[in-house]
Amino acid sequence: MLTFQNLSYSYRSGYPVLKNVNAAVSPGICLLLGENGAGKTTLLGLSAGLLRAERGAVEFDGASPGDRLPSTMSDIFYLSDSWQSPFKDIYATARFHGAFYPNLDFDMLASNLEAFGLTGHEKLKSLSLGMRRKTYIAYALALRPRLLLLDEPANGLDIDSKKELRRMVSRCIGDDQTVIISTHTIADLEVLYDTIMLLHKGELLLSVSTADISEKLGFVTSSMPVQEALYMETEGACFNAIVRAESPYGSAIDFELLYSAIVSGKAPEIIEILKEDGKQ
Amino acid sequence: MEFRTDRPIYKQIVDYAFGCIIGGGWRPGEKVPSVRELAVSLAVNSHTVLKAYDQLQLQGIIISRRGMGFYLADDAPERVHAGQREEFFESTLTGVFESMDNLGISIDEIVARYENFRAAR
Amino acid sequence: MENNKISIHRIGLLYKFYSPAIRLLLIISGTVLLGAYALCLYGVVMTRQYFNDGPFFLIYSMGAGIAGWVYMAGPFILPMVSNRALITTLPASWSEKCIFIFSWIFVVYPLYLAVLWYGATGICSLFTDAAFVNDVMMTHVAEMTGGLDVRTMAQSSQTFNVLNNMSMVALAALVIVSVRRNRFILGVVGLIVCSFVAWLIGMVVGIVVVVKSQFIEQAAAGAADPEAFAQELLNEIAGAFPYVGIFSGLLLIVCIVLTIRKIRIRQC
Repeated sequence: MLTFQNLSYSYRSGYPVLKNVNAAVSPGICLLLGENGAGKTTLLGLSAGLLRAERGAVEFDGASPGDRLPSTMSDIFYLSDSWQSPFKDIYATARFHGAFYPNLDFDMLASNLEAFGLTGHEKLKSLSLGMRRKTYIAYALALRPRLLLLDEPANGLDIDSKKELRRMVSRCIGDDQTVIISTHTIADLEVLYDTIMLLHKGELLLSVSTADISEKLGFVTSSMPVQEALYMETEGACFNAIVRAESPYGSAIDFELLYSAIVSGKAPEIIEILKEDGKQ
Repeated sequence: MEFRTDRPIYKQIVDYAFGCIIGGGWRPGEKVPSVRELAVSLAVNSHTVLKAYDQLQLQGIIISRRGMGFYLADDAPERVHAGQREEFFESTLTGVFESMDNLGISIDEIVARYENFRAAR
Repeated sequence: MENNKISIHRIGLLYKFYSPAIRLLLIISGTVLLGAYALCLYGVVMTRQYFNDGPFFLIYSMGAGIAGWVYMAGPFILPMVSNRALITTLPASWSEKCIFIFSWIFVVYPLYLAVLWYGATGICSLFTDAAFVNDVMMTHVAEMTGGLDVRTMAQSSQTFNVLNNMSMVALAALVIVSVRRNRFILGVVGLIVCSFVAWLIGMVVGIVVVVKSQFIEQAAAGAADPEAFAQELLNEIAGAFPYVGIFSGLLLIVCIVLTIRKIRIRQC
């Protein structure tokens, strides 16, 4: 379990990037959603032990990643959006870097690479950015860390690769693993998420399971204004709205609409409803 | 599987299950994929599959055998038909009724148009 | 792996992790070192043949100088792995990372260089006794200067040299571990600055010695025994080395401590 307790972090210049973040992330696939500059990268850095919290605490299974104990670090892997391997190819990476991670599965690496149409013996320096990203994602999943942090994994991937990414994540993640996918766009992975965290200007506005969202809220699209909408937007000739409780003719969770609603501040009831029963 | 955004995911999974039953991929009396297996093959999260399976259980289409998993009922194809009817009444028809109210369309107009539709067939 | 105590296995994994960079450095530095040895050998051999030895002594000095700089290259395997986030989150404790770095730059790498140098010396000694380049050059210099005992000065300067070199290497390591970008270049800059400071200190020591020995007055007065005076000068310089050595030693300790601290607490 990954927990954030009153976590705050500021840059050296004093700019407060994260303000009093409190959340508990259970095993499963978690969406960390927020606009650029909201503090997502900092939150991931703190979870990975790359940054050390000054105020508040981060804990993963009872240990603080900031202490950088080998037993903790071998269970965590952070694939930042600018991560590069210093080795010749991905198999060399698996031999030299992967040796530190006891859960590395070479068979999974081979099949992931194959699913992306790669052999793994391509020289990393000569690969295009997109193909290198795919190689690294294939590798990150094969490391099978208990906590996997992916920063914008779908960035730079073509449509087919994004579809394969969704299948790969679903296939490779075990029941005891926690994956946090950080993004500012929803990008085709919506149906995978078990939980969602919404970060806006350094504050965690929402931390809730998608099961709770489906149970407590309905998402409706209609050509007519929607009655008793908690939040409504117009899109051309359509009205998109969030209503209380599931609607029999509603649609799938509209993460973008939910994000707009919460960030706009015009629908505080939505947060209240989601917080009901003491769940955050 | 690619999911649409205009319908709850779990309902699309129920539709998918209906398709498997009618198409013969899932045979009556036999074991169906576990929640996790189906979640991975559709690349969707497990609780959504669980919700779909809950509905299928409610409709008596699949049966849970403790310790062994989910099995397809012997009369599944008939139940699927009944389920599709129920889905139509619950979702499609409710939507139609909402629109009728909003646009001020009466049931008689609907009946008349339906009769024209049948006559043209 | 679960055990957080210092693990030899993990230190071995660190060596393995840096092995591509290490291999590259060993090849380059090995080649350059052997080239430097060849220069020294050539300089010594030529010096003994021709008594007009100015240019050949220079070649010997160049060789010796290059050999000195090769020793400093140890820390530069670190910036060859440019992904600093990767290093910070690598599952090894800060103490294991420190043991790896310091064992490499102060023990393993210098040992490799020593093996190469003395191996070359050994092989060449089968053909000529000029192979023992440093000894031969010292003897030759002594002959040239008419029997001055340069050995005392050479020996006392040796500790100073070792400490000086080690402190420079430690400073380079500190710079490399501390800065976020341009680690390679800034490491080199650190070395250059350090050797400039060392040169400055050498100048200062030289001036102090000259003043202390009243060289100017004695020269003006026309000293009776120039060789004895030269010997006295050398002994004075030899005497100054311990003080400079202390400074180098302090610098070495400070750099090591700061490097360890930086590895423990760095933020990426």
